[in-house]
Amino acid sequence: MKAGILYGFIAFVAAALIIISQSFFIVDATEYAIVTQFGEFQRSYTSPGLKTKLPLIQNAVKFDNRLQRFDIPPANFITLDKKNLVIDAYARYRITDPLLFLQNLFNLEAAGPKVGDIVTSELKKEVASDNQSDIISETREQVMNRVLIASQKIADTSGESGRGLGVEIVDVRIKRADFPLSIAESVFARMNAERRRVANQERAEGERTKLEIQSRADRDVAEILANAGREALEIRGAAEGQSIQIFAEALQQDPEFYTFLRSLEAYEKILSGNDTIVLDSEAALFRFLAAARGE
Amino acid sequence: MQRPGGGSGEEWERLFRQGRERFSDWSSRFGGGGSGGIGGVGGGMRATFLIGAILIALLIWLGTGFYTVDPDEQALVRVFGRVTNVAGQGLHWRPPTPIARHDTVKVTQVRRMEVGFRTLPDNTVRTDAVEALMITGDENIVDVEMVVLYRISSISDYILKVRDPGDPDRAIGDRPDGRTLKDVAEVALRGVIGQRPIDDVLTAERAVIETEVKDGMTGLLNDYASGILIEQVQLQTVKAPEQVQAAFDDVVSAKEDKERLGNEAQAYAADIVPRAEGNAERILNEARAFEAQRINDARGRAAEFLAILQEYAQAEDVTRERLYLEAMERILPGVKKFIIDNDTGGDLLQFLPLDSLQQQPQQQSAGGGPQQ
Repeated sequence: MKAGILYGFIAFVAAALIIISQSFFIVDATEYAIVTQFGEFQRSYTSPGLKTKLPLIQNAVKFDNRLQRFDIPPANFITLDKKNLVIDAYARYRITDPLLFLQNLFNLEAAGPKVGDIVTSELKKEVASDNQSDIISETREQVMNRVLIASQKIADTSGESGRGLGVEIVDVRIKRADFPLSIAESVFARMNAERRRVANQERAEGERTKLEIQSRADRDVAEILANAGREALEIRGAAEGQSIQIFAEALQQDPEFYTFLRSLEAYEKILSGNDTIVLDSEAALFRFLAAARGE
Repeated sequence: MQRPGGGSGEEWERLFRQGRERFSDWSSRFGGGGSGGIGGVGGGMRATFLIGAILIALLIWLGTGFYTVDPDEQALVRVFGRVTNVAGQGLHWRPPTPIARHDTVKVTQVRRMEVGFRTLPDNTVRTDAVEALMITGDENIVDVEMVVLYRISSISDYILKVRDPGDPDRAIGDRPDGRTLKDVAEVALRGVIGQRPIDDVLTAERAVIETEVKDGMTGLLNDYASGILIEQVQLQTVKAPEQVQAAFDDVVSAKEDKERLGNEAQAYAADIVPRAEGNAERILNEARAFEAQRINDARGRAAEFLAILQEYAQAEDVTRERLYLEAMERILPGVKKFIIDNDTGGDLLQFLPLDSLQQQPQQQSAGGGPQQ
């Protein structure tokens, strides 16, 4: 009999434990929770803590409330200028309303692709209305922003009775916007050609610089020498002039005497040993000679 | 982990015996007196065993609440799902498992994420082309490899706000750290590279790119409340893809060539211009020398003439006569002379054959000069 009581006690404790464990549940700081009764929504919890529910008849469903990521697989997009771009993007979203989320998207595994679909379709539209270069460089930020806003709008207004999907799309980002592999080769060919152009230009500019500098140097040399030649001639000319002037000033004192002196000098130079001169005996030089003879 | 009585048979037996004795005391005092036969004693033993086991289990359970935190770690403690504490280093206790939990994260450690390449366990490096190749603003393709150094700045954000915060190549505990950081790195890097022409990317703007990528990553990670702090972004390799590497190298060598040609030309100029200047100086100096010579000569001769003139002025006729005679003295001895007397007949011709047989007719007319 005592053994019976003991077993009964054990059974009671076990049952109590099961009931208690069924009556309480923990909502973690990273979770939201919904309580349903036979599948019917009762209430939702968006703050953490120890919560109660009716055991056995009520059920608690939990949702991750952290920021979620959905990777939009890389795909070919056509731009406004009819070029192909491979775009790899991702979306970030988080659950804001657990009931709407449960109704529309059911769970995270199912929600990701649906959010991805919304973003992808908006991205396609947006890319189709921009040129390739805008997406690659200048307006990528704005493109992403517009996609985000449009996607948010859809997420907020679609779903049952237009109350939204229970998620907030927080961010849409283009990770990569690349040329498709098929045209990579032609891009490389273009880059090679462009580099050749730059290389040729650099070399030609080098030659130009060289010719400029060298010819300039040659010209400088010619100018320097020509200037020097001119200046030298000027100096020589001036010197000649000055010497004539100096000399003339002196000769001015007695031009007749100078002529006399200069004539004597000239005779000396003109007459050399091989010359023969015929002199008149009546010349001034010989006037004494004649006189002597006459005597 | 401390388990009271853990495993040792003797310990169990001792506790069991103590419990039985105490229980039999208690049951004999309050229970059915001494009537308890073998069966009664057996029931008492079972109950004693049970309560003891429950007590021990309770102790063990409470004991599981102890945990240690290393100096480089923090632990985030949640009780019934609510964050109650961020524990620093040391030994701590929290309520045991279903009630509370803790997550330990190394927060001081600076972690490293590789973008565009992976360092393999044997320390070789493998390039990840899909990650490394990206488009520049002028629609060229460039190969960029980058290292991001980061740290967990807020353990509660890191654990609670983002589902997959960190670097997928790194596991924290036994689960991968997540994609967020890699995503953010790619977005920021490609965004920045996409804004610039390839020449800027390859050369001058490295530091600027690093700063902008860091700022971009920091901005996104803050937007996501990821609890991750970017310490540093380092561009490892920035180069043209292999397919065009040769052409890019050629541009570099073309730039060198340009430099070289310029230098050669400068060298040429530096060689010939100073020489020309020297030559010019020489020409001028020669001219100046001539000038000095010429003028001094003129001065000298003028002075000489003036000196003679001064003397001449003292006695004009005499001096004149003297000078004339001296000159004749110097001239006439060297030359052949014929002196003709006017009175004996002005006919020169009779002398001519005597003059010299080899005389040319020209000389005859020259000789006729003084006759007049």
